[in-house]
Amino acid sequence: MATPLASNIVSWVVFLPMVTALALLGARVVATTIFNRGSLPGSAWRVIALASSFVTFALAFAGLWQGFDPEVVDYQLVERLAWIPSLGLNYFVGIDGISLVLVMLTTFVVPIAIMSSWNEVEGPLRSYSVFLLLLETGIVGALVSLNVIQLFFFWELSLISSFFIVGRFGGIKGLRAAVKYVVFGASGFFLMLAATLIVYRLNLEQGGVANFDMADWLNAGASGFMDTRVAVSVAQDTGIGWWQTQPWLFFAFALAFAIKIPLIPFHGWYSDTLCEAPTSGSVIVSALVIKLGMFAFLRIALPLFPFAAREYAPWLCGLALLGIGISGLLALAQRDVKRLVGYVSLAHVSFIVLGIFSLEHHAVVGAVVHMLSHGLSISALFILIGFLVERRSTRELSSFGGLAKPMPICAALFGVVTLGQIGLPGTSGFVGSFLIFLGSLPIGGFATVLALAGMVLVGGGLMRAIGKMMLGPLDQAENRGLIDLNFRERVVVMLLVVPIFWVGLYPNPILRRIEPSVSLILNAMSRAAENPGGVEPDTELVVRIAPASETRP
Amino acid sequence: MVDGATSSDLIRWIPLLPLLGSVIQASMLFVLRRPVRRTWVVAMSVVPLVLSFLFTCAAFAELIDLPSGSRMQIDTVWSWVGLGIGSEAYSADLAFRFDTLSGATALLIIVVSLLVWLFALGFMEGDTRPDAGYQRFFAYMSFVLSSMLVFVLGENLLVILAGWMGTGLGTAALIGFWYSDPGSGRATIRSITFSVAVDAVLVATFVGAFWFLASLGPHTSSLLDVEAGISALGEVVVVLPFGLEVRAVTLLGLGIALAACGRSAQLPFTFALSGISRSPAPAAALSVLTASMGVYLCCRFSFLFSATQTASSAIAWAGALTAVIAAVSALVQRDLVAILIAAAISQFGVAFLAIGCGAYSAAIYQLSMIVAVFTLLIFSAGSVIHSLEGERDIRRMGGLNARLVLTHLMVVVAVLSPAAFLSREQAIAAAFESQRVPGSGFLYGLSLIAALLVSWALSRYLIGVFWGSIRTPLGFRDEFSDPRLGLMIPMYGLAILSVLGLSLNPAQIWGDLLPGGVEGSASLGRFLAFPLATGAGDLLAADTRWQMVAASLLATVLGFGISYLLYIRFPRTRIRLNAQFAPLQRALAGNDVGGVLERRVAEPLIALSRSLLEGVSALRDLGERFRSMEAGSGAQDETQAHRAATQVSFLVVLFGALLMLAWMTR
Repeated sequence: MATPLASNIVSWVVFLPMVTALALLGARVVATTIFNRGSLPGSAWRVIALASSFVTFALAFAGLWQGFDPEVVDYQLVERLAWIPSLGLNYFVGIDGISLVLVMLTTFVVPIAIMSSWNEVEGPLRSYSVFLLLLETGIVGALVSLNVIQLFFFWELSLISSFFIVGRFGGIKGLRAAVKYVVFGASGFFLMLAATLIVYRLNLEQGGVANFDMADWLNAGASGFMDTRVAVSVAQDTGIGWWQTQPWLFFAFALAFAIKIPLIPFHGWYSDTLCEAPTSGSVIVSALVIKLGMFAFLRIALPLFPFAAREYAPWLCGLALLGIGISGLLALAQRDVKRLVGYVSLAHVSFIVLGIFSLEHHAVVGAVVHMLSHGLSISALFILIGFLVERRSTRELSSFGGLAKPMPICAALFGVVTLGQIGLPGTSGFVGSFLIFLGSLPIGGFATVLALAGMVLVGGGLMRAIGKMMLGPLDQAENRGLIDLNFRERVVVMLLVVPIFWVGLYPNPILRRIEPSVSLILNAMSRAAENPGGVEPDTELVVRIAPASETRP
Repeated sequence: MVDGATSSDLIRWIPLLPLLGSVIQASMLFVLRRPVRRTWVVAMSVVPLVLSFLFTCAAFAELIDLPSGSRMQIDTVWSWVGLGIGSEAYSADLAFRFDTLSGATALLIIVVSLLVWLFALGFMEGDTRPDAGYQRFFAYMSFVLSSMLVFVLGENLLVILAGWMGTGLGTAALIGFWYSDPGSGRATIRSITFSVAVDAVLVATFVGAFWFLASLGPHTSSLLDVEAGISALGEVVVVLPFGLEVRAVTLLGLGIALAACGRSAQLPFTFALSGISRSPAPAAALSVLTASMGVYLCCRFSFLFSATQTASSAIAWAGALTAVIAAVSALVQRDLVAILIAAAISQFGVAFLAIGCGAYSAAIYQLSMIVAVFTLLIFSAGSVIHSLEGERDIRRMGGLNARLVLTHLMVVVAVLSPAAFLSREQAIAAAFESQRVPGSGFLYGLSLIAALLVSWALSRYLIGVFWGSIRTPLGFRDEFSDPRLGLMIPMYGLAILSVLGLSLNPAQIWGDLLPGGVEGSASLGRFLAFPLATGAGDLLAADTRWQMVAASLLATVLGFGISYLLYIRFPRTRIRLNAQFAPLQRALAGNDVGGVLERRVAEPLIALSRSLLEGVSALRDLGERFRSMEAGSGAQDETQAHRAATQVSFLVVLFGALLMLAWMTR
């Protein structure tokens, strides 16, 4: 990476979908106002949106995956443009191993999601296409942002555009679910914003320079946002208020992220949103948007508040274990298939949080792999459920049964995807969950045993539902004439099944890229833990980027 | 790579070829959306099997060339999961290990599977059900086979786990093969859930093994490293909740024992194979093989059991009790396949007893003989059921020896097979000799009782099905005879195996008759000795040995005698006894532990979760009522959930605003 700023590949990946959307809108304006002609039909817009998202994936693969150097322990492919330097606001993007994996997942899943509800979505396809593209830009942008305010901009963009997709193109109660979604999301967002402003103010006082950039990339003397030293507790002589201490700020961030993830009991928006959204919306929200919460834990909360994160990790682990158990039980109780899959997803998400807050190297790496794996397998499950719902227009578990006869391929794919979900070795689910189990043992064998029991419960619940739908006699007349998956549908699911096995059988390329970023975070945390005061001026957090100084411009 | 082991590229093909066969067949079904011609199916399922048989033979030839102290070959395919740096570096290789133990077991699996395949090729042709699927059947079977081979040959704990989980899930898929059956969904789900739970036990054990070893040194999950590390782990003590102190080795041993009991349907999991009789007869035959994997698991980790007396005793007791209980259950079952499966479980119990007493090679010998004999018996049951057009109840059979002449002969061979008795002998002898297990005298007694009961149950099967008068109701085809040659050949093969197996007998029993004595004999036991831990019961004094043979032979003959008296000589007495003990019998035959578990555990769990859900909505209702009292009849059309969400979010925003306020006013 001799000239990281020369290449704009990250910006291309981020903005290509948005630029496509704006170009489509612009073309429409030009066509209707100047030439007084109708613009392209909505279906053409959607084809263009699909093509654009495919190109985005191709760019991400060719540019980011290939261009990423696993040997370098730092942000890579960095681009930075000054915007309002006096306030510390800049355009600043770059990737590390964790965001690389999630960007790849996002750009891969979005086109698949578009294809999955090709026939399902009714209504104005033009706005549907535009919002999908904006959503993709929002998610990818949030993953690669290295400026906190810019991250929030993309975060909010993803929230708003998914609001429109759920509310406008969802089921009968779609709008209501979408309002709930956005109210929850926005409240988390404002909480996060408030806490960020406090940290910003601290940073300003410490460094004297306004900066929202996460790192002081140009060595300009402006202390990076993430280099802010936050006091562990209120000290008499420093005049630091309780709201400026690590526990409270961590609490604010953690609450915001917990709503996003969502961790039980902050999951109020989740199942309604997933149920009412069209398949593409459910897939993108459950596989991608909620990943932002977990990602932000790793990117912001752990490095910024190492002491508080360590201090309160047992609580979050407990919450995660509770989440696994309760969502497993709730999944068992569901009579609605889509909701059931939603709760299965919730259990896995809690499991990922358990991995993150084990704060143990293997477990955190496992958590990132499991984010990827969860994205793939939960998308496949929602898509398959979507195909069934499209055919039968009901989500009741009891209205299915014996579908293996009319729809053998659908049944087989359900089986394979479920195996991936419960973590058969050789599928992606195994690598992540085994690493999380490995890493969770040092925090107490109790946690591992509980988590294992919870995952058995979840797997059993999912298997039970799938078995009820697919096996047994075909006793309902409506199910007799069902047509098996067509070519498009088979391709869509297979596109997800192949990487599930690929990641499961050969995870090393992914592990190799994730690992350095994870050790960076954990090492910084343990260094900070040795120096819990956090008020000493020198190295602790600044050292963070030092090993790879050769990548600096 | 591990030091001291030769590497070989042959071994990976042994499990891989059947897997390829399975994947190709499944993908052809997926792409073409209709089955291909039968000849293709035959080619795709048998050719990989034959090839992997040849590879196994070649690997075996290479193995025997090595000096007897280092007969082990490792095949590392690729580094599967690798992470960490420096001393914490962890790498799990996709590696296979071919030593005398895994090689012999793999050979057994492949030979028996070949015969099962031959049988299935003919048997499944007659399957005319609407949910039949010739190609699908072989895709499942090949998957189970390759999973077993991965498990048996695995060198890394992760690889072993992969094979183990695949075996369980594949067996469950075979239970649901005839998916239109009303109960098939339930039975499949039950089997999968149970198998996932057993897998979780093994996962926990392996995770534990990883960390116990990591606390001493390198992060590794290679079997060789684990084996080497166990001795160092000797006295490491783990403190459990409530202040319980347990040795790490004991904990691991108990984990392995629990998982093995789950797979081999030993106590407390005797119900584990209850769904098997739903699957087609060849699949039921294969499930004897999959059930034997529990025995293999224990032998693979024999180094663990030889280091912990607690786990050994637990497994010995579980085995001995299962041997008796399952044999009793075999006596009262009416379904042909269920009788045989119960008897097989009882015999596996004897193998577990041998493991607990430290006679690992005896357990492997017992395993191979059980597999040969019971696969043959299940084939015979399949033929009988097939001939009687689906009749499975032993009470409506009898006198079939006139029609199924050769099948009858095969059953006689299997029931009387001396190899089957003498494989048992050694386990019984080990129980007698063992000093390690508390109450070994009781175990010895239990094993003799089990021997009696099993020979009683098997002779009941022989007499009930083939001898006496014909009890079939009218309406069956008049003309039926032995199945055609294609189905008989596998039976002949297994019959030969179960007779020739005698020569594999670890020279324990025949030691005196051999020219070189026990020490000089080239028995299976000595062949397997290298990878197995040396345990008690390897060498017995000559007179003890013959006492054992006499005692267990006596028990066996007594079992046959009881059958003779009850079923041939005094049938009236039997009928009277039957009437007298009818309730007991019903209770035993209907001993549907799986069903009980489902009613007592799964359904309450579902009920609990439903009430949890209702509780949540009730709370929500309560809050709503409270609110409407406060606010009067406001926006009625707002849903409660929506409103609750708004409230929560409002609180959160308020909190954020307060934080901001605090920041600004300081």
